[in-house]
Formats: sequence, C-alpha cells, structure tokens
Amino acid sequence: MLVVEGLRKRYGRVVAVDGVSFSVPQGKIVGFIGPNGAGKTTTIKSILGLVRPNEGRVSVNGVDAWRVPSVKRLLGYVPELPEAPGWMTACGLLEKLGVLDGLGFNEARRVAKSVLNELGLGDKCDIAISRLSKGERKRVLIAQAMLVEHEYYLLDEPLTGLDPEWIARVRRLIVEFREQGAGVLVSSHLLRELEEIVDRVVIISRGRVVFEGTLDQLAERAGARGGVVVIKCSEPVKVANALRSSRLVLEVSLYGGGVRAVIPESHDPMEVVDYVRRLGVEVKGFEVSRVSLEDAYLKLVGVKGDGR
Amino acid sequence: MVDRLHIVKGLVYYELTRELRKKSFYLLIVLAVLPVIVAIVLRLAGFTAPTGHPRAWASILGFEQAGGIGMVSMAGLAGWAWLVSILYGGDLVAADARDGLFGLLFARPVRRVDYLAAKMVSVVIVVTLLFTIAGTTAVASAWILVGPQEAIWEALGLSALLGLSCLPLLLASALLGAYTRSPVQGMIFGFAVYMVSTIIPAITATLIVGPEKLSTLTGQIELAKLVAQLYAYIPFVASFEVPGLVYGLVHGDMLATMIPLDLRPSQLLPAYSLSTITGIVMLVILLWYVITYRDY
Repeated sequence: MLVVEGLRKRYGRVVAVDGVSFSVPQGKIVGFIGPNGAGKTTTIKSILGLVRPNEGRVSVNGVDAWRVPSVKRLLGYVPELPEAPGWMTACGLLEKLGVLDGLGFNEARRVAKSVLNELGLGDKCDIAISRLSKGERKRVLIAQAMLVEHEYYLLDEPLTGLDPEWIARVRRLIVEFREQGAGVLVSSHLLRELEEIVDRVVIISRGRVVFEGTLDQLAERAGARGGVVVIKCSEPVKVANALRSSRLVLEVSLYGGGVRAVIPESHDPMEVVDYVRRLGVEVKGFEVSRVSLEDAYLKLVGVKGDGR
Repeated sequence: MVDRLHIVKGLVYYELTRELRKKSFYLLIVLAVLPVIVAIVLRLAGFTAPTGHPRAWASILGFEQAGGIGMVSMAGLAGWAWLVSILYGGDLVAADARDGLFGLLFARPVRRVDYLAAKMVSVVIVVTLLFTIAGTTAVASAWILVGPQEAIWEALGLSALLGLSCLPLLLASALLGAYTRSPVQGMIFGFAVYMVSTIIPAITATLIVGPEKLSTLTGQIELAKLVAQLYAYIPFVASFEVPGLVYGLVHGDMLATMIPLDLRPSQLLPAYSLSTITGIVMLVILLWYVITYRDY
C-alpha cells in the first residue's frame, strides 16, 4: 500500500497542498481528480521527493519513501509535461534511464526498443526527441516508466496530449498495470477520462482532498445517480425551506425564479413536484434531468473547493 | 553498493554522451587546433619565429609573455579558460532542470550526491581532455614555427592542470545556472562573477596604494604586488594562475603572467592553491545544496 499522510506544501504564502491524505492499494486504480492548479502535480512530485513538502509522510509498503531511496525502485512515474532532453533519441534516453533502473547496458537497449514498439514508436527509436510530436513525446515518457515492472505507478495526466486512439490504448495499458497487481495513481482534471477504469477516486480541490472513495460512494455523496428537478414556483424561499426539512431531497438551492433540488436515485422526481403543490404554492413548471458522475465531481469541486 | 556504483556508471556514461555531443565542444576543439593551421600557413609563407627561444609552448599556453612568437599567442589557453568555464558551467545542471530530466532521474533511486559526483567526473574529464588537446596543438605549432620543443609532457601536464583550474568559475556558473534553472543566466552570471572578481581587487589595490602613486614605477609595482596578493582570496581568479605559478616554480627564472618581478611563485602558490581547493569544496557543497533542496 502506498500511503500519503498529512501532506502539506507551501510556496511562500500560497498553500499548494494542504494536509492531503489518501492511499493507493496494490491491484487498484485510483483516479486523482481535480481542476487545474488543485495540487495534483505537487502531490505526486512530493510523493517522489521531487518537491520537498513542509509536512507529511509517504510510505510505500510500510517503508518511508523519503528516507529510503531504494523504495523508488517500486515506483514508476510519468510526468505531466512532455519534457525530455531534445538532443537525445528516444532509444538513447530510455537506454540511459534503463541503466538507472538497474538494467545492464545491453539489456537496457533491448528493453528500450521493446517498450517503444509497444507504444507505437518502434520506427522513431533513433529520432531526436525534439523532432517528435507532443503526443509522441508523451508516449516516450510513458515508455520510460515501463522499462522495468513497478509495484506502483504514479501517472500525472498521462492522457493529456494524446489522440483518441492512444487515449484508449493507454487506458488499456493502465488496466494491464492493475492486472499485473500494481497500484496505479492516475491524475486528470476530467473524471470522465477515467470513469470507466478507476476503482477509487481521490478528488482534490485547492490543495485539499474533498472526497476519497469508490465511484458509487461519490455518486451517493453528490446525489449523482439520482436526478435534479428544477421547479419554477411562486414562493421559492418557502419551498426551499420546506424541501430542506423534508427527506425527499439531498440538496436544495434557489435557482432563477424557483428551486433546484437534487434527489436520490430511489425517489421519483414527481414526488417532489407533488410535495411542492401540496404546500399550496403555484407550480409554474418543472424540469427533470439526470446527473452524470462528471457533474457530481464538478459540483463537489465547485461547492467544496470554492467554499460556496 | 554495487547497485549504487552501477547507477553512477550509468550517470557518467550519460553525462559523457551529453558533453561530447555539444557543438561548443567541437567549436573549442576547432579553436584549439587553429594555431597549428596558422603555424603551418606562416611556415609555408616563410615566417619563422626567432630561434633560441626555449619552450615556446609556454608562451602559447599563456604562462609567460608572448615575446617573439606573439603571432600564435592567440591560442593562449589561460586566456580562454574563463570562457570554457562559463560555457560548461552554465548548463552543467541547469540544462537538466530545463529539459525535465530531473523528474526522470530523481524519481528513480538516484541520490543527488551521486548525480553531482557523476557531473563532476564527466566535466573534469571533458575539460581536461579539451585543454590537453589544446596543449598538444600548442606544442605542435611551436614545433612548426621554432623547431623541436623540449618538455612536451610538462606542456601536456600543465594544460591538463589548466583544465582543472577552470573548476571554481565553472562550478560558480553551474551553481547560478542551477539556481535560476537557466543555462544562459548561468553563463551570464558566471561571466559577471569573473569580471567582478578581477575588477574588485584592482580597485581595492588602487585605493590602498593611492591613485597618485600610479604614475611612478614604484607605485605600479606596489599595485601589481597587492593585486596578486588579493587574488589569492578569490578562487575564481586564483585558480587560473595556479598552472602558471607551477610553471614558474619549476623553471625559477621564468615569469608567470600577471606576477610582479619580486614576487616568487613559491610565495604565492600555496595561497592560490588553497584558495582554489577551498573554492571548489565550498562550491560543490553549495551546488549539492541547491540540487537537493530546490523543488524540481
């Protein structure tokens, strides 16, 4: 298990990461979701010791990751930005990094070619990285994390910059990591990118974890698997107060000339409309819609993150 | 331990590949070889330097006044050393930060101290190699122009020492480059360090001696002596004088550049060497600190 506890990182007065705690079990894919600037990259870099946090602890299989450098052998990392020494060839870079991963010089050369083939770059092996497209460079960086098998993978926005075909293939690759028994922490600013493959999600906003759990728990927490009903009525404040005290809705807010209520999956939206009518309030119209997990995530981030 | 040695080997291999791919390395090799071409052209044109000038390479290396073979003293390696220092130092570490390599290296079980050791080993190899090649061409061009040269191994040894003398300024440029994460800024600030290091002792000495005395020969000698003594406190300048002082010490009667007549090399060499070594040690520690404690 990779465990992050109370991670805090300050840049001057700005708190980038504020007491972040979560865990990544082996054999699971954990989505690390949050808007741009939420603190995802700082957290991942802190786990690896690339950024020095002000507080916190990271342990990998019970061993302090910052005190025992050899623990890093258990971690594969794909950085967010497709940056690499442009003067080197893709094979050249991977050979050097393979040696640092513990491979022999000849073995590193063989493995470098093999993983580049796997990522569709077999014919780009001897081309300078500066001449590769952004997507190809991103694939080179994914390849360097695959030179040896790791117990955990920390993938920082691995799908960014890839075309749809490669997004699908890299998603499959991430699933393969899980099938091999590895724990995967994969970050994205869009939940829908990872919705199909993650086992758990950690949602971070403004440096704080606002949710950690399964997708079902997220749905339940945000009422995402239920629906939303917007009711235009004559006395919205009265209706909102009444709905809040009822057990029909998860959440209610004033919305235009009426109210917006989030209802659990088990309830029929018409029950809410009938309830409002029974209050003696004139219902001018209503609209019912489903909420996606993405909406749930955005709502969670918006509400918790902005403090609204 | 075996694992760590393997990693260091991998890092040194990477560094040497990087250094030997630099265009600046080959540009400097061309510059180093240029005196040989000039010497051949001059020889073919019928020019020869005055005879009876022993160890002409010493002049070309910059260890004494050019005198009769000034026509090829453009190769004076001591004069190029500061340029090589800032060129190699500026991007020594900064380029890795700029290229995103730090993330790839330090996400692996690579210790910062091993990374720095590999950097030091490779840059010392490359710079020493560069100056030894330049020293070889200096001897060759002297041979072409003034005939067979003696003490060839001494020339090559001092050339290599000149390469090592680059380390304080090179490390200062590397430190500034690492701090700003910009190779260009590392080079610019490295140049600024060198300029300030040469100017400040001169100004200080002028103020101590008194500007009014500088019109007299005695005043000028006093100034030169004071400047030479002040340089001992500044490793960025002192280091470049060490090979010249070694040469002066070996040959007694020879004058190392910038050293006044009545100051013997034996008086200055210990202080200059100590300053150089202290500078290198302190700068390596600072560089390690920046690499270790800055976020990348």
